[in-house]
Amino acid sequence: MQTKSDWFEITLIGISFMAINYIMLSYIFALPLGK
Amino acid sequence: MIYAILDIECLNLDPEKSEIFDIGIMVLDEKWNKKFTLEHKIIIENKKLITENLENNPALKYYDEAIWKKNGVPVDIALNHISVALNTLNDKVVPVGHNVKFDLAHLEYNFKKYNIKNPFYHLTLDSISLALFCGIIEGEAMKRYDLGSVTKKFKAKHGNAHTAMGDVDAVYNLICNLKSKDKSKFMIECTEEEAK
Repeated sequence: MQTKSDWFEITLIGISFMAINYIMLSYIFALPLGK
Repeated sequence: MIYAILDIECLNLDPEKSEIFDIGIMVLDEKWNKKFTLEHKIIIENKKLITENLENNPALKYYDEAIWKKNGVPVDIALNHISVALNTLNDKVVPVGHNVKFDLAHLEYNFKKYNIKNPFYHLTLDSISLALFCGIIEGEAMKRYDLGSVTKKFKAKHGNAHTAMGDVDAVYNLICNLKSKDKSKFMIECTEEEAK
């Protein structure tokens, strides 16, 4: 069974993964970041 | 580096208790030009899983017993074909898709189960990150993170949602739009009419 700290870690890893993916996609396709 | 847009349809969320019944893959070169596609209808072994998941799995709406009986192959045959086709490219095959980790979890489980070489590179490109971060950066989070919401936001064509090749085509159309030089075409809020 997953504890609160497990969920915190899962969420943190998930958000980091998504952030890296977004940065990669923005870089590859030259998306106007922050506009 | 080669990109493989991939999507699978499966019976439920847990790879160990699920079966894949549709696989769509579109292979693109490093400049995102289409090279070839692979599509496999997979025979469902445990028919009980179909009735158990019929109500809560929208992909099963497109499951047609007659088509699968005619064109379907066992999962190991399909995965072996995919593995050979992608491994012979002798390059890193980066998986691309919407929530692609989910599809990979099911594929990886089956590659391991049937002792087939997994052809995919460990890095992925996931369009779900666009749903999460475009909204945050623009100051208003998107209400839903599904592929339909992302294609709508970036004005990409999305036919046959919830079929493997339909969703692969939608991600490809999304990439074509992201590649376009005029980003102003889609980096604006949808009007209420378009959102419908």
